Amino acid sequence: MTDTAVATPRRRNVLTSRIKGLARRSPTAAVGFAIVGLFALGGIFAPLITPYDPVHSFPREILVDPGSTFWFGTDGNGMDIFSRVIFGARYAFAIAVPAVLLSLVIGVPLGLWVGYVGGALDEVTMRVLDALRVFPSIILALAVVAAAGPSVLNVVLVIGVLDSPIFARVVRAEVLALRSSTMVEAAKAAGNPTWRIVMVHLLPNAIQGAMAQSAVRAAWAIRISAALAFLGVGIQVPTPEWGVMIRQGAEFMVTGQWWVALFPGVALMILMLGLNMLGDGMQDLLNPRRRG
Amino acid sequence: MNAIGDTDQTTATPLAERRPILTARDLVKEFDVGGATLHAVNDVNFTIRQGEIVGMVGESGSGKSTIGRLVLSLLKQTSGDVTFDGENLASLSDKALRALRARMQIVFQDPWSALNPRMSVGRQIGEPLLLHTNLSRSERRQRVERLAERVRLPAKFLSRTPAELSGGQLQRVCIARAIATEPELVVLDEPTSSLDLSVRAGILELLAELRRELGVAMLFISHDLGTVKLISDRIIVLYLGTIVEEGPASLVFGAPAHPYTQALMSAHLPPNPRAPLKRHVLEGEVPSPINLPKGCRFASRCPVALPECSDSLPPLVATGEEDRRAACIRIADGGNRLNL
Repeated sequence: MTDTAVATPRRRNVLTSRIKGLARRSPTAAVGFAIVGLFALGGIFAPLITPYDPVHSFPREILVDPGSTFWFGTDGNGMDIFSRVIFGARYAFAIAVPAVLLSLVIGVPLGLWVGYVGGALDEVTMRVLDALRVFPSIILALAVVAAAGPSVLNVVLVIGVLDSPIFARVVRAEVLALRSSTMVEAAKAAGNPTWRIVMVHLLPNAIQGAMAQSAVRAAWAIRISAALAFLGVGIQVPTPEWGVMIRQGAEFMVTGQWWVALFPGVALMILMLGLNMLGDGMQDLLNPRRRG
Repeated sequence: MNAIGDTDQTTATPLAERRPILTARDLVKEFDVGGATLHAVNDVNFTIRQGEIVGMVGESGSGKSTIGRLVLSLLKQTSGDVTFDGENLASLSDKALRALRARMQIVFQDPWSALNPRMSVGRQIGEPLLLHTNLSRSERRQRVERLAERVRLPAKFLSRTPAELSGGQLQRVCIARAIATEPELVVLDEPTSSLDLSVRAGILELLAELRRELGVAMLFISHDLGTVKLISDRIIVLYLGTIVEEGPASLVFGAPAHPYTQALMSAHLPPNPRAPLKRHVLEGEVPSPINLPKGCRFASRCPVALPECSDSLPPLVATGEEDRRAACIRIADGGNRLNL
């Protein structure tokens, strides 16, 4: 488009100053972004950071206290908890990112379509989605994963599908508000075909809410996958996944080996906090009228 | 009366002899409001000729903005026809109508909501070119720069988003977008009423200049008589979705025939603050467009109404003076003059 052609070639400077501006305007988003970024880097560079193989068992070092050799101690199999917690970030992102992408891919076009067409289609679709949301999602996920088999792929598919109505709803609400706006009327008057009104004019303005939601939904996806693993239907031992580790550690809580469950639990908590802060901050930042 | 636009190059052909670019025939628009029917536009007939500026005035709720949308087929009429350069808009396919939009454009009242907040204004000005021409990207960019220059928008603004521009600048963007494909008709739906007074004059000057240079016909919708007077060749006065008077701007402003037009003109402040105010303040409320009165729609508030005014709708008939029509039965007996 003419956009890039007309723009000045100072893109990079504009970008860095804009990032600084964003951080100043929403410290919440900045802190959230830093936390999530730290976990992402930890996951990516896990083999370089971790002192041990996360699934290597030291038969003589079972349930060792946190200390200088094993920073977070070892678990019931004699595996290094620090290494497992770092590798756990990989699983968290490996589930959250594709699950949220799947939700977006299903939910956003659905919301755009029913919102723009409206009428009976909209009513029926929304009632069906409501019915889906009434089920406690953890029970539904539990049933589906138990039936389909406990693999990472199945967990991703279930979470992604179950969460798509949220995105459909957010996008639909925006489209409903925009559909009768002067902006859309002007686009029509300019001679835009329907597909272009929807894709070029509605989508970029309707997707903001969904983008802000995606961080919050990623936190939800990580929590559900951890819950499934904790309940024993998701990812299985000895995979270094936080839910699995918390489940293993739960047995040792009563006998005083608190570190087995505590460290993966704290990691899970901090990442969820970071994602939620990022989501909240993005909500404010993505409002175009406030860009200054 | 065209204070600004009177050096029109197209005045070579007298207005009345030019080809009609737009014709509205028996145009009716009804809205369904919770089971009741709102009669927004009732049997409206008018013609806009090539290069002609038609000012459409009336109070809010008189149906003027609805008419603006009907003539561009942005709204579908309940009945009646809109013909653009010989083509009946209702009979066109979606594709043909979209193609025709290169020749008829609109500028909306509120430039803040008429632009996409996430697209650079340069891209938005160039959008009609992208849709209707085969120009290359660099040719489009050149055209966009020329358009920006023409509406006096500094080129540095083209890469910015609407939130970074002022209201007057945004309206210039909207005008540039509207004239990008050199249309033959532009509907201006209160293009200055949401702008600061200081910015208004600039926009009006720009419109007058465009009219002079491009010879584009305009339907100028406004409730601001001063603005309309400044720019229009012909005036249409609306009351409750019905045309009550229509004629050359000089006649309608100089000697309004319909009692409603007279009252409307008298409500407008003269430029000279020392001029004696001769006003007629209308009593009562505008009747509901859901429950239209049977006879003349203005009868309930008209100071010169006779009992028979409420019997049947007075037809819009020629008053005898040069191309003027009015819908008042009292013109015949000379009783239409208000005591101002």
